[in-house]
Amino acid sequence: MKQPLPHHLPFWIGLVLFALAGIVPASGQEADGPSDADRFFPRQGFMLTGYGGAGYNVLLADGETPNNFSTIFAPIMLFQISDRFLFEGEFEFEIEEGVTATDLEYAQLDVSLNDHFTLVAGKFLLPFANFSERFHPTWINRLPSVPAVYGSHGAAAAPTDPMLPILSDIGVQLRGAFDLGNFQTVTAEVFVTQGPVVAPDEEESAGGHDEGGPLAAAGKGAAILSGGGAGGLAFGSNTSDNNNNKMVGGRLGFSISPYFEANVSGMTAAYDAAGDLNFSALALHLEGRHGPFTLHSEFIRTWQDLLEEEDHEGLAAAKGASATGALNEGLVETLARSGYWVQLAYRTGPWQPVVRWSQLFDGKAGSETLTDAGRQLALGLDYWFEPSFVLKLEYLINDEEVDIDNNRLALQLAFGF
Amino acid sequence: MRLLASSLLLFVIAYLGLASQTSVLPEPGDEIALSDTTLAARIGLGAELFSRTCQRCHNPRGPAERTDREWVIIMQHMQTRANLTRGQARLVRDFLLASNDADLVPGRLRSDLETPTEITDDLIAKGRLVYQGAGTCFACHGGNLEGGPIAPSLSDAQWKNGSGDYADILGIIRNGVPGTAMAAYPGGITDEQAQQVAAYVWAVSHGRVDR
Repeated sequence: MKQPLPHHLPFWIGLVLFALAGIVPASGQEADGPSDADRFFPRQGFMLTGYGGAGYNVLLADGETPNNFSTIFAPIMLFQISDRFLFEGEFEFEIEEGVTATDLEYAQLDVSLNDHFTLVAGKFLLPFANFSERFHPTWINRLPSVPAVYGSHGAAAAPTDPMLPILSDIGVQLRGAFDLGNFQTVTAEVFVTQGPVVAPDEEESAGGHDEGGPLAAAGKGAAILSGGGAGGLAFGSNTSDNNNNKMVGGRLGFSISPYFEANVSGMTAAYDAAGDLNFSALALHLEGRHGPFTLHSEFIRTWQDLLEEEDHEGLAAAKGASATGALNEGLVETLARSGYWVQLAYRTGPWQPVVRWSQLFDGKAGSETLTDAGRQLALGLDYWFEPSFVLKLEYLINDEEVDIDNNRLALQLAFGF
Repeated sequence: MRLLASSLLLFVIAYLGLASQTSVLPEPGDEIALSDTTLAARIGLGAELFSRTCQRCHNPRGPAERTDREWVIIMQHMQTRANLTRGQARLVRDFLLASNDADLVPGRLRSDLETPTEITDDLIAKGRLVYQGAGTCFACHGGNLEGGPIAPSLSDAQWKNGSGDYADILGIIRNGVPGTAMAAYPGGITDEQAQQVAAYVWAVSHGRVDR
């Protein structure tokens, strides 16, 4: 099946942006040296910031999985090398349902090229939609859980296999911001990174945030490739790149702060050793604000090439073929999945009720359904002690094709420091 | 068709990049005087940017939560994270710096002021030149730092303003003394020159060098 994104297009976009970054003249404030406040400060500095949280999860009507405490600590280190260079990194240490996970969420160098462009290199949160990059920290996410389209970071008790993890990967990124006046801004990002690979087997898994396969059902997962074969896809630094095909992607957005923001994003990469099987994703992000009301939504679609093995019924990932780097004699079909989530929050004093609806549709390859549909309703109530210190209560209702009752009650104390 | 669409997209991006070079925001480097009315306008614009852009993701944090230096580092981080232009990030930064202090003076460091790890002879020598030259300090404080009708002596241990340590001396040169003839950045000197002349005045008043 034809992939939706021409592979070379983001390359040309990135090339143009790089060229612009070089030839566009710096605005006066940069060319003339330090500004008013700049001259007061030494050029180097360090600070520690970050976020964390502690929670208690109750799986209702399950009877098998014990109720669990959980905790997360995510320190963020900011090293100001100069007024143009900043190095930042975030670690995550999480204990949930008896599993201790550690991860380097990002470690990136930000180079401010001029008033509009910033070059980012290292491991970074991907500019794909908004949730991964901006909304997943505990004190920013209005609910203890993440939308059902995402795995990891509090994704326990999802109605079906999530579509994507909280996305971060290693590579280089060029970011642009253009002020149109009246608080209107156009933003554009392009990136080139390692890309996804077939996830290792569950028994080999370190339980990292970015892995898929059976871990997805336990909330640790990434995009899943189901249908009888092993393995989902792994994003991030848990594995080295297995081919010379890098993932390319980008995002284009427009905002009228704070009332409206919209962006479209996409990414595409080959994930097998031979570079024959492709993964692509598209997303539309919409958000709006009116008084005390805040609305967020994302619509995501993914395509993943699958290789049929002769000794499997239906379609399955040919992990063996991928490992050897050779296509077998089977057919290539493309698993297409779609999902969305919509969240509405209302702030009244320190209280903030929140409602979020997530829906994943049947994942189909040709006429065959490989992943089940699922729906999730999250009802939450937040109490804000401080702007960055909140107590969240959530009742999560899952409605899935398979008759499993994994509704959840969660309580989380979250803070940003 | 694909090539045409790609070309059009590249043209649009190139146009956005080239056509957006004139910022609609004031240039922070334009004004020097800290009490200029334009400064108040800049702080106001920074306040509005702060209230509009921060709440896109999270609750706005209070300016008093952080020191000046921490806000400088944080805003450099947020320029990338929040997709701000550099000009926008600096306006928000200047608002935060002004708002976490009682006096609306951006960049006032309070306890963040540092004495140089080493006040060198070179620094003192340069400061002497500033005192006798561009800073016009001699005009009020005397050629030998002995003081005069409108300005106190700078050569002894008696201080009308501050404690006489390097940080306080530098702060006075940067901020002036309200209600007196002591202006901020006298003679329009740069901050580097301010640090030099502060080092010279400190060295003289502490007996490290002769006038």
